[in-house]
Amino acid sequence: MQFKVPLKVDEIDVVKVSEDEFVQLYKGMYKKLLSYGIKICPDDEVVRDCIHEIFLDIWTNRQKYENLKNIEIYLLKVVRNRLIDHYRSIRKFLDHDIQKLEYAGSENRIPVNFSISQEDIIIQDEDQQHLTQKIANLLNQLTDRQREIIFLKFYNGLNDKQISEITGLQNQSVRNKAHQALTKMKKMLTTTTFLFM
Amino acid sequence: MRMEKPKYDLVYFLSDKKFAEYVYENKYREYWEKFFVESPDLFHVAEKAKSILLSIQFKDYEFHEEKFQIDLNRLKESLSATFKPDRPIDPSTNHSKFVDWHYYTKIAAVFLIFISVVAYVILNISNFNPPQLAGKTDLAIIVEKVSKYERKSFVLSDGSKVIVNAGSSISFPDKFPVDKRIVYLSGEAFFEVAPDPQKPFIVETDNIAVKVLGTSFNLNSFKGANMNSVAVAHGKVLTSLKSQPDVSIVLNKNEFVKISDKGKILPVQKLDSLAVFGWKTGTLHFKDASIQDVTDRLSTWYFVDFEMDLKTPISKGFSATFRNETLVNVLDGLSFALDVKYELKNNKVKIYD
Repeated sequence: MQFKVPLKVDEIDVVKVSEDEFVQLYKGMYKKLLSYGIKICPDDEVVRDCIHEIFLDIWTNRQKYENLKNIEIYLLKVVRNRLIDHYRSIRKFLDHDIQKLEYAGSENRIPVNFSISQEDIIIQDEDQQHLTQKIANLLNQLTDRQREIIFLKFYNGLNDKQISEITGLQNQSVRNKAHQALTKMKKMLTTTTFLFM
Repeated sequence: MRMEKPKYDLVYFLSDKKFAEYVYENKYREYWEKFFVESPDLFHVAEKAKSILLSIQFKDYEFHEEKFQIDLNRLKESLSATFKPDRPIDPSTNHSKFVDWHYYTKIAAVFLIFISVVAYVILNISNFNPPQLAGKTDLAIIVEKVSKYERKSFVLSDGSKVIVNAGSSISFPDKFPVDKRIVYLSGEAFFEVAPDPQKPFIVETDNIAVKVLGTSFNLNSFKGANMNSVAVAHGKVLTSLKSQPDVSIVLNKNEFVKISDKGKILPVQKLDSLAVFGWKTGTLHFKDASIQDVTDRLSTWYFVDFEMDLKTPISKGFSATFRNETLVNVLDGLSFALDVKYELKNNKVKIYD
């Protein structure tokens, strides 16, 4: 078996990518995309189908990706958009109020949840594991968009600009959301202090 | 109740925005350095808070190796099946593809493919011999020949449905093998393919092979003498030439393509669904069709040959819809609309000025 240097995702040129490299890219991004997608759509079958379709579409049309700078950001963005569209198309059959959701402005146009549970969070410091529950509780009192931004920041280590690229929220809006999230967390933590200390 | 002085414990630091921004974005550096100079006893607590904030992580979604392997194999299989693009890609089709995907993955329970086959094949149905399924001789192959005067529908072992047009033949195994679903067609048929990503559904004719891609639903047609045509009602299909398996084309919803027997692929067109799929309900539909298209269609529909004897070529298009009409009525309408005459004798139609 041929030894291969692991491929760095950000070094991939989609236009010239070989089939082998493309499979490497898939392997490299699979967990990340699934971990992100599953929080938007809890049905893993749907998310896996979605990831499959995306890679197939990229492969089929790879000549078009000349100007693609960061494939990782692009993939996260497409997974997000497709899952949201998928959710909408389902909703169309369940809910006639879909138009309201569609035109409620860019920030509120996402009718989907972004759910994070206590099991999703890890605190490295074992002595502080008891804080996991608290942090999860706090996160779950934030809005879906705030949670999503925190997730992208902490799980994928992305910066504000990249997050705004994925979510379509304005740069400033991302910063505000992060700000709001932190303020809210602070308030709630203070309240918990009174209750428990 | 308000606290006059904050209690500088772990939770205080964990809840302080300035502290969080200091930790994550290196902001307020001066403020905190000054703070720790003034209160060195708090430095230890703050360090602890910092390490907790920096250690918050999100877990990977619970990873299932076997699911990953399934997905990986599926991708590899699809990659090797995809085409080397031989037509310019129209960027505008990209978006619609996105929409199709969401729409059909969950909602459409069935996928449709439609295939019709060249006139001369239809006319030589009696010579139709189903190709052997390689290595699967133990499977019973069912061959269905549909007479000129009927349409038949079948349900295959996987739940897919096929409507076969008059004068066509189809062969399929009694039960599909585990790895793929292949049916052979001569003539024209409309397929509703039951989704199964692990088992690609392939329709083969003498000249082309049509494969349902991913989770999409398709239609596939082929009409006129020596012409194959593939039309997609929904979703996506991959069509390839049997003579050159690496030449293939992906078709999306509402697109159709004609492929000559010699392997020439004509440009992809948007389809008029009634014109292409109307036969299922006995509807013959033309919209601004050329005389050539009309006679091609009529010759496979009524099993007649056309002979053209026109001094002045017909330039205008023909539009009409016939539902379960006799050939004579159709020809009456055609000759009236295009201002030509016709003569019907022994299954031959002569069109003249």
